[in-house]
Amino acid sequence: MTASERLRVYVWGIGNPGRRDDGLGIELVRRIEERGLDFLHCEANYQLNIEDAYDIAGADVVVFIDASMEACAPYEFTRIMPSRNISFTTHALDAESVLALCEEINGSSPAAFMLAVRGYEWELGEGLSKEAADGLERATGFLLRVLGESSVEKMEKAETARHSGCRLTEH
Amino acid sequence: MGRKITIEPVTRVEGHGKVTIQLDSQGQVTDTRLHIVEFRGFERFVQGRPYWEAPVLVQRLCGICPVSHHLAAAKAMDVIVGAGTGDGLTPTAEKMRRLMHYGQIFQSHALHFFHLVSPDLLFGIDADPAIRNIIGVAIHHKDLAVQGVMMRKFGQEIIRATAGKKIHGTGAIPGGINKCLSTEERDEFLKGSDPLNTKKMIEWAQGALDFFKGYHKKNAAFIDNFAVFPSSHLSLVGKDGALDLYHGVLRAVDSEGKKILNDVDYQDYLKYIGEEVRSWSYMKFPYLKSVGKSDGWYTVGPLGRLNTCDFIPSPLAQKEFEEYKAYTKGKPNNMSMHMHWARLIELLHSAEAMQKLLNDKDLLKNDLVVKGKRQSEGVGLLEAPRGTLFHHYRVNEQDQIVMANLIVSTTNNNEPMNRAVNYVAKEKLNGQKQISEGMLNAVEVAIRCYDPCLSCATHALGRMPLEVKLIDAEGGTVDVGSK
Repeated sequence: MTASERLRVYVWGIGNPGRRDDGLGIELVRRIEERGLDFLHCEANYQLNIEDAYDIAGADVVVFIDASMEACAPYEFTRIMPSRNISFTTHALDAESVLALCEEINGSSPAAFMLAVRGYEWELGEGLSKEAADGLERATGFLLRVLGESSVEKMEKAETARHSGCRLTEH
Repeated sequence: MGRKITIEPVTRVEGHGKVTIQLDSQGQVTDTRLHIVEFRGFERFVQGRPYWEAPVLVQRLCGICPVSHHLAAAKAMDVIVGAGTGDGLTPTAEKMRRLMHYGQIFQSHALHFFHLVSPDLLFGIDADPAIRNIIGVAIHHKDLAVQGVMMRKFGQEIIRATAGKKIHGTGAIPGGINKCLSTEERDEFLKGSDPLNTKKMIEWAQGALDFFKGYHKKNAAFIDNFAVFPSSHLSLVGKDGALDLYHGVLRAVDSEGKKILNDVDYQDYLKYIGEEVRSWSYMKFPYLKSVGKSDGWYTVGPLGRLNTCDFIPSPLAQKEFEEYKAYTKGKPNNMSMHMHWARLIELLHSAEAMQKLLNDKDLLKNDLVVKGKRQSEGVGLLEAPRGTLFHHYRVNEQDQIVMANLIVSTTNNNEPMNRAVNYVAKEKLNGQKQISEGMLNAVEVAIRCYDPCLSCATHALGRMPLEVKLIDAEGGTVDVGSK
């Protein structure tokens, strides 16, 4: 695949590394960035905010990575779409709202996915819980495979499905 | 039967919070409480850590204003390394920190106004929440939404250039700063293509102010009468009485403008400020010791600052300040909704301050750090976007932090926020048979004036930040508003 054929992929980590497993998204982005993949643009911040709607506009695909209290372990990977239904807002925005805001101010938004990595411990402190660290390893390997895909459609095929008992299916 | 309303989560504030409203059998509000979960554990978390780590560590406290914590801790550590109590740094170090700080104030105030406040003003506080949000602003007032996004981005880029990065910045270190600005960075901020340059930021800040003033003119009854109550006000001011968000002396005035804390050195804050614990809240209630626990509470933030300072040291903001002060005939302004007006004047001041600093050649010099005789205790204060922020540390001979005490801006505003909730709850809910979403939003509008930051909570997917609970005279929960 030539450079010009590559998807421009933005990887967007969200979380606070000072809150144990809340730092999963930041750590995963750090690991991805270390690979030095030239078609990737990596960003990390405590939370998503309105300026991200401007910053993601140059991507073909954006993959948001966040810790989750509810995801099936070790992670879920799902296609997400712009949503104008903000049920509540804080200073931060959720990923779907960032996409909607991007669409309103730029006319379109990139294809987007959420990689939600299951976290377990959220108190103030450093370092991931053992379960989260294990999940991080698997999520990193999974994401590196997905990022190598050549189209949004192929990335969609990597979506994980939630089954009874919250067992994860990897394609 | 009486009822109790709980708003949880309170929307458009940060972290976890809850409002409970107690109604009697006639539907009259008898009591209200704003509960905010404050994470005091952080003060223990830093104990045992080397003091020089504090400016980076404390940023983990808050995803909304990490730069404020970064700089307040750095100021405290300046004292520890013998670099003076705020005015002993090299010109480059102090100006780089100021630029970082004004970048933070600018992006935070822009975010608050465009993202959190403008929907209430543009669509009305009773409007459908499906449209009363930033996406609604983008659909119906695209120019305003774009300005909000780009102003926030400009401030974030200033932070990136001065702090080194957006998350866990390392720019401020004990005794100074670890980098100066490059000529290329400076020129980009001053002369970058529209809109990301200081000239456009000043123009847009002025535009936001004009928008608010236009709204105020048409809606004076609402803006001037919503959650109005007498309050004392506290902030840093420059030694010459100027609005100074980075450094100065502590001043407080009462609701009539009489000075009740007269430009004191904040290293001695414990002489003047006490913290009361109440059984129903994790968050303390600070007060001025000279006035006492019951009446010594005060307001901080934009309203507090413009009530305590004598002038603003930037021309356009000063002109706006004069108009603002004239509205109350020079007396302290106790109208909660005027917090937005004050905040926008500070937005303009921050834009002007950034432009002035960027034109200062000291930012390009390499004299970055000073140190002197090592001390064992230091206090760092500054005016964070939401108000006065206190950081106090003691350090042992092994360079470990052995004590930390933080009073964050939202804690300083604990009592006025509770009073604002009580005021609005009584005005909007008394005697109402049906409690509408618009009525509950009015309570939140009151809280939003103070722009509280509750981000002690994590932000993981699935975590909701707030909850209004309606409780009857017998103590049973009748209704819970959860959004």
